[in-house]
Amino acid sequence: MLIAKISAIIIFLIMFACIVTEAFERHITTLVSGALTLSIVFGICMRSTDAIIRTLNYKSFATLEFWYGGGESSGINWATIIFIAGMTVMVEGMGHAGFFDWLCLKIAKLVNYKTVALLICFMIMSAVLAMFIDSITVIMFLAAVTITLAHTLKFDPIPIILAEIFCANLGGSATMCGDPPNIIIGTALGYSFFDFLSNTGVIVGICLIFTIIYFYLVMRKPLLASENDRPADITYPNAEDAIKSKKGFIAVVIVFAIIVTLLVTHSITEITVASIGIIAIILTSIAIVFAFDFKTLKEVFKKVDYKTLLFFVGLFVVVSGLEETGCLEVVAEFIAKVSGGNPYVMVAIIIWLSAICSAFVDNIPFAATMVPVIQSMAVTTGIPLETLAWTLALGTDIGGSATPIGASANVVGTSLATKAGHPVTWGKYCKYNAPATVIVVSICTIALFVLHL
Amino acid sequence: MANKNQVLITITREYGSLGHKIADQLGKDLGIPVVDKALFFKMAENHGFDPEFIKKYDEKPRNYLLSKSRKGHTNSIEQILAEMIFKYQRDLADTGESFIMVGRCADWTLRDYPGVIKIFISADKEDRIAHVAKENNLTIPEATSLIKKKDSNRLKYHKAYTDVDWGSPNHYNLIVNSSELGVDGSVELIKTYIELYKKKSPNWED
Repeated sequence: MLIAKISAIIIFLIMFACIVTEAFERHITTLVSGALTLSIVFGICMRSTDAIIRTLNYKSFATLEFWYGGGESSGINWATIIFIAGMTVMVEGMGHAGFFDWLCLKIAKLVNYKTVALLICFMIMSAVLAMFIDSITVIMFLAAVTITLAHTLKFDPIPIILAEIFCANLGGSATMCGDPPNIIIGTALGYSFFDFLSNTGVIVGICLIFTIIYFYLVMRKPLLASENDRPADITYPNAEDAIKSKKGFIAVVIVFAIIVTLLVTHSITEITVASIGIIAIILTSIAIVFAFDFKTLKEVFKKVDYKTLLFFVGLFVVVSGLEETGCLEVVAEFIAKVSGGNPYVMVAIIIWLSAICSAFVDNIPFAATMVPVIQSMAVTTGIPLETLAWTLALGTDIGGSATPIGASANVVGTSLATKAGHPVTWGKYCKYNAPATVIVVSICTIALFVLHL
Repeated sequence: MANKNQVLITITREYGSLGHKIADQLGKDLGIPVVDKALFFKMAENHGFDPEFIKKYDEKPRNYLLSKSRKGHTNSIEQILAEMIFKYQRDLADTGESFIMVGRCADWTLRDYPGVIKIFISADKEDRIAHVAKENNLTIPEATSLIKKKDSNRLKYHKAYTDVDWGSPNHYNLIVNSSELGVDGSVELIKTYIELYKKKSPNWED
């Protein structure tokens, strides 16, 4: 077993190093690491067919709980993968119909293109959209519109884009489907959308108020100054022009409304997120074919990020290698020992460790690794698993905002800004978003102490 | 777009090998413009980049620890700037006009364009040191150190954005050592090569 443990750790560390340095594409790294885990750790070292079957978890498809009712999951978390696939198809459909551009431009017009009002509205919109849609998509559309408006209205888009990035990560932590770590935590531990909303969601709501105040205070002066320099003869972009097909637009909005309703009520209806993912794929396909044609549907499916889905498959296998060999129990015991069994210290360690790690490395492998750790900690220390789950979710999701490489939204947002001639350096990024992260993680720590301990 | 008379010459050069002077002279003799750092910088400035900022990030490989890429987007300023320059090189080539491109991986970017001639300019180390020391008013050790630094940067930059090694003989059509021939002799040699190439290559029309 010792050799199995060592092999699992080595594979994990090499995988992590390859992900951080991007030596290979992420999905290649995790799939090869997953194959090595299956063959070396489970096959050669443990000689355990059961461990392989548990990890591949293919039998779960045939169970009723996978589609209806739900429960905890181990090995490859197929529910996460199907759900992400479904949401990606839906979001691509919405983007194709022009929904996001329309929404951004409509709001800009509603606030009469006032830059400070734009900052606040786009921050709220970023947070709210990221509750349901992946943060990369949210930032891709919001940043693009912000840059367009900045060029038209002559203001520096960087402060607003940085605030949008921060809020997308913050909003994502409010719900189960907002950020990949939450989907992993929720599906692995059997929590619903509503469980997240009523726990992390409440804390995020409080944090959002402080975040808006922070960015308002930090950024209002340059934004207000830009309004004075604004040229008089401006042709404002028309929101309606963003809509490619009115029929398609209405169809995808209806699909979005149905999926959001299913997510919000899935703890009552007991329809699992895997089923919601399948429903999203089917309804979006119908909507696209109805409003456009099969060719458009093919285009939408082509845009789905299959590499990310494969990345998850490999990742879950590698983490199962650590779990099956008992490595993660050692980590759990170590954290419990360091904290001396004090729940306040334990929560503080988990949230700050998660936040700091997520600021520099990919938070998805981190969260996937930490789920079995907190499960083990809950058993050995008696702290409610829910408390540790919310702590982990908030730490991994919000911590990623601190640096330009901490989360996918940061990478895409800063990339778009730089390509548009507004380069975002590490210094510039961290000047605004690192203090905001420290403030918000501190608020989360206090809120977790008060509400959950 | 496709112009059979288009002359596309890329010049990759070691620091201090007189590569730029050779490119300028060749451009004058052939009557075609030389696209170099100054034009690349101008293009980046037109995109909104500050000149000092461009200098800081130009001709540098991506730092994999301080940047990430997701869904085809990277936040490496070095890579974004490099890709912007590569796109500019392709856009210029697509106009069908003739020109000489100096540095910035043009030998790689334009490798698939018909009739592109890839030239690498080298020179003996002592000559390079002497040129750099004279041009920049430096001592010999300072010039040696500057050459080492510049060549290392060019090598790393080329390695980061292309699949071939900088200076690898089988990647270029012609490798010229300017030590013996100087600027004029090297230019004559290249022009002779171009004439012979024109006669042999099906991509050219008289």
